[in-house]
Amino acid sequence: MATAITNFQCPACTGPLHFSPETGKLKCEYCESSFTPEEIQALYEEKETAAEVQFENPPQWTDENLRQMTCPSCGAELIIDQHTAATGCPYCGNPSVVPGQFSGMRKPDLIIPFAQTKEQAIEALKKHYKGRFLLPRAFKQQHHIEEIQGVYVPFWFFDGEADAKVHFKCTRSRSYLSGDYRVTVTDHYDVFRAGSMTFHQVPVDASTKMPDRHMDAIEPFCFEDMKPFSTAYLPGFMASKYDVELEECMPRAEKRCCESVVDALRGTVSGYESCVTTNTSGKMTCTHTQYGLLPVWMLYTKYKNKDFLFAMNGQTGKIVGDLPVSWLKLSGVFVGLSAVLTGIISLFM
Amino acid sequence: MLTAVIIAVVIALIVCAVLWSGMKMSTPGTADSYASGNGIAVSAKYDRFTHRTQSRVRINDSSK
Repeated sequence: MATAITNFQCPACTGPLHFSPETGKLKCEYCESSFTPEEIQALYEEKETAAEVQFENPPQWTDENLRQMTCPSCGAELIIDQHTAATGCPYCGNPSVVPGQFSGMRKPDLIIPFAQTKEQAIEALKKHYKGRFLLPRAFKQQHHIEEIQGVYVPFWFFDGEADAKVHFKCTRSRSYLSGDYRVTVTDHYDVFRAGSMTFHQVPVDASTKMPDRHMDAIEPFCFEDMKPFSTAYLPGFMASKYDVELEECMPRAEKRCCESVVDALRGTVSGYESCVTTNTSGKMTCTHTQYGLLPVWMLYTKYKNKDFLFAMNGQTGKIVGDLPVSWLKLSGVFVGLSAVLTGIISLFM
Repeated sequence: MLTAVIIAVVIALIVCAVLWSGMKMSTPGTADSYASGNGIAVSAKYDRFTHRTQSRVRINDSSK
C-alpha cells in the first residue's frame, strides 16, 4: 500500500480545491464555493497529522530518493521524488499536498501566496516576447507557453549585519600652461573606509533544481504580503522542500550583503577624479534565519536543442530569462545599419 | 571614406550590442533591496595623500 497524500476537498461538494491567486482563497472548481486558507487548514489539521505519521513510516517503498503515493481522488499510484511537497496527479489532475514534507524542523515559517494567475503569467510572457526584434519567429511558434507551472520555491531568509573594509586608490588632478607645455599635476591618495549595514530577510533559494541566477533575478519580493506557513496555500501548485542546507546558502547571502556595503562605502568617497577599489574584505554576522516558500511561475522550453528557462515572480509579475537570438536578424541589422550610416556620414565629410 | 566606414561600423556594433544585451537577463549582485532604512554606518575612514606625479605635454604650434 502506498502512502496517502492529502488533497483539500470542498466541504460542500467534495470537489478538489485550488488556491486562487485572484481572491487569496481556496476555490472549488465544481460548486465554486470559496474558503479561506485558515478555514481549510482547521478542517484538515487532523487528517494531515495522521498522514504525516504514515509518511514518516512509508509502508513499502524503499528507494531513499523516491516516494510512492496514492492519489486520493482516482487511486492512481504516484512516484514522486523525496523533495516534492505539492504536486498534481497526472491521471486526474487532482492537486495534492504531500504531508510530512513540511512538518517538524522542515516546516516553513513563512509563505508568500501566489498573486499572479496562470493567465496573467501567460499574458506577461507574451508581452515579454513582444517587440523583441532579434527573437527568432520559430521560437515563438514552437514553445509551449501553456505549460507554464506555478512552483513554490524553498528559500532561506537571513537577517544580520554585514561589515566591510575597503581600500581605494584615488587621484585629483589640475592642469596649467607653462610656456609651450601643458603641465598636469596629479595627487594620489590612499583612501580607506570601513562600515556596516543591517539587512533584513535576504532571500537565498534553497533548491538545487532552481538556477540561482534566475532566482536572484526575479527579486525583489514584497515581504509585507508574507503569511505564516499553511499547506492550504499549496493546492494547484507544485512545491518542494529545501535540499540545500542553511549553512550552504549562508555564503551567498554574505557575498551579496558585503557587496552592498562595499557599494555604499564607495558612495562615501567624493572629491576625486578617479577612484579604483584595490582591496575589499567583509563578513556577515547572521542574527536570525527563517525558512519560507516563495511563488514562482516557471517555463522550461527547448529551441534548437538548447534549454531556455523563464521564471516569473508569482507575486510582482517580474519575468526573467535569456531569449534566443536570431543571428540572421542580428547580421542583417549590422550590415544594413553599417551601410546606411556610411552613406550618411560620407555626405557630411 | 574609410573613416566613414569605420565610424559606421562602430555605431552599428554598439547598436547590435544593445539589442543583444536586451535579450539577456541581468542579475542583481547586491542585497540593496533588503538593507534597513538606516543605510551605511561608517566606522572608520581616512584619505591619505601618498605622492604627486607631474606630466608635461608640448602644445602643438601649427604656425611654426
